[in-house]
Amino acid sequence: MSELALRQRGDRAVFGVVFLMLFAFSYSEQLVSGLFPVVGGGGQTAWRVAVVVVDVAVLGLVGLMKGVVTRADGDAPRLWGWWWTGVAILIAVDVLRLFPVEAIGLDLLTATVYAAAMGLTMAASLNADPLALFSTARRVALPTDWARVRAVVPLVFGTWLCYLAASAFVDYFDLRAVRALDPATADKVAEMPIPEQMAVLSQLCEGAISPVFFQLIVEVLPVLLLTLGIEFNYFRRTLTDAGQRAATAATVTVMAAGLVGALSTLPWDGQGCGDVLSSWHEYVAFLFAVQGVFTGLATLVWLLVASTPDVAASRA
Amino acid sequence: MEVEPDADHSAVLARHRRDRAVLAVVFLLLFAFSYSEDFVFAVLQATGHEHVAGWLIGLVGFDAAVLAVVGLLKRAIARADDEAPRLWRWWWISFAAIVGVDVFLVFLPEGHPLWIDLVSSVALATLMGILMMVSLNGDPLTLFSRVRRSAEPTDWARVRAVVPLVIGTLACYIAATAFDDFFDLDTVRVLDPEMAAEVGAMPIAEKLGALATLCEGAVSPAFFQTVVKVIPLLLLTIGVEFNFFRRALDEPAQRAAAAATVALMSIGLSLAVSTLPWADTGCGGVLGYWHEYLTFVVSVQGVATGLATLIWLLVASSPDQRVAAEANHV
Repeated sequence: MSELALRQRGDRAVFGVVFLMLFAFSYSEQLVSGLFPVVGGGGQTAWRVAVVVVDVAVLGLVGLMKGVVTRADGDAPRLWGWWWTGVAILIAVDVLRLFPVEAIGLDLLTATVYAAAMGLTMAASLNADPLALFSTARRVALPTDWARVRAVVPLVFGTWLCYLAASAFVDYFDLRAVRALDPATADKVAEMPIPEQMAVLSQLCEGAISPVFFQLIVEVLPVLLLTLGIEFNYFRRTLTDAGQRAATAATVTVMAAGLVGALSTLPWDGQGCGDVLSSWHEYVAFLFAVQGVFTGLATLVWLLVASTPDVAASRA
Repeated sequence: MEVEPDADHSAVLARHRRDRAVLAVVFLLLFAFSYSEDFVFAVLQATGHEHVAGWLIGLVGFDAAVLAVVGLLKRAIARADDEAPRLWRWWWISFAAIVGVDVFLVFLPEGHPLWIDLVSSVALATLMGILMMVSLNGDPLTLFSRVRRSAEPTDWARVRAVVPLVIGTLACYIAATAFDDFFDLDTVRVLDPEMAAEVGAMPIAEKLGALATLCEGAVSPAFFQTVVKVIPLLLLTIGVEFNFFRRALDEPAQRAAAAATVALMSIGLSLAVSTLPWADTGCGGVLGYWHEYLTFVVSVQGVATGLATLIWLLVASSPDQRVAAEANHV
């Protein structure tokens, strides 16, 4: 295989790792829990086991891609210790979740550990030493590793916030909100005089999340995308490595997904019986929106913290 | 970062470490020191030690600890700049003044006049600014003396980067005072059990009306909804303006200040977004006290810092010169 073909294959593998980890792996729980009832039913434990199986399959694929990235870089096999550590933590947390425990503190802890392990696995899969994040000496000695590690930081931060939002959705929002009237209440309301009936119907049903949230997300995300576009202009060099390009593409994709999710809620008022979103629709749109906004904001701050603008670098 | 093959390895390493120390000074003073009163209050409230001794030990201890770390970082920055120790007199005077203001605030009686709050806010924000400037090894007098500006260009670059952060911090302190003095802190956020039982016994139409009107937060939800729209536009505007002042991102202190400004605005925006899932009117949909308070003060600080940056760049920097295309063909 020619050097060019090998490099292109490596670049494709880099994109594969970033997109698989960000969209297939981090949303596996939501995907499986959404599809499971449609495909074949089963209980709480059954779909949790399915999540573990899907995660193992995705991580196996990512492991194969790590091999391709390492070969394209012309390196001997390295960082497998980090990779296996990350994978072991991820699978262990998945298995731990087979035993549901209702505790907010534990939810926050597992979400944090899970996001950190995901970042570790993603960095190691991109053939980048995760320690470059903490050691100045390593950053200087391994510039490519540092470029890749710093590219995935905002993605990991956005994913962490997405996990926290998923916990918050369950723990803090009113999941028992009346989305549609039960027959008994509907009968009772139907007996009321029309003006009272209209007033009650408009107030009785609502979603767990205020519709204002989605309306404003739709306004915020395009402006954030535009701001990121302008900021990337100062850091053009940061788009040269495949890892950085993949992370940028993933950031824009996750923000676009958040925008589409929020837009899809707007045809319904979100208030009043017959006009409330289904809980699944609301949940997924909420998660995408949170991940999109926070990944975008983290990228804005992180670029300024971790990169030097092009002009400064050329002078140095 | 790419490293030139002939670059001296240890020089590059020292530059990286200096940049990190600069970033740490700005972030520590902006996020740890300027919110010290809130951190200490939260801890004292949680542990039930809200008495004068608790405040004295907590506030003075916390500030002294943060400033001690900042002092160590100042030494590292001065060493990386290859300079003899300087500006320590400024540093120690600011440190002593901050401890003095802390002690004064702890012993201040509950019903003190508003002007004392305003004067102490101005004093604390100014002291924080001076401390940040001297910790970055920048002479604060360059702000007032044209001669010093031309004699010490690096000091001036660092000092002027700090100014918008000081203005934003002052706005944050004033917002905190306004929250305590002008907003209705006794508002009903959650129904007490007796009232809830009374409302529960009402007919459904009346019950819905009562639940919708009885509870509300201290800050109108329209404020947060507008902040969510304004901050992204300010971020965008700052991004466009930096284009005229690209050199303004050259010096590490300026980059750290820019990063801190964007971080502040991003945190303000994140907190404002986090209020949106709740309608913030009607029982069961009102924010908690801390959530509302922090969102209010951080978003005010974010907006004020952003606006101050926009104006200050135009006042204090000269835009980059364009190089004419013909210049390359001479």
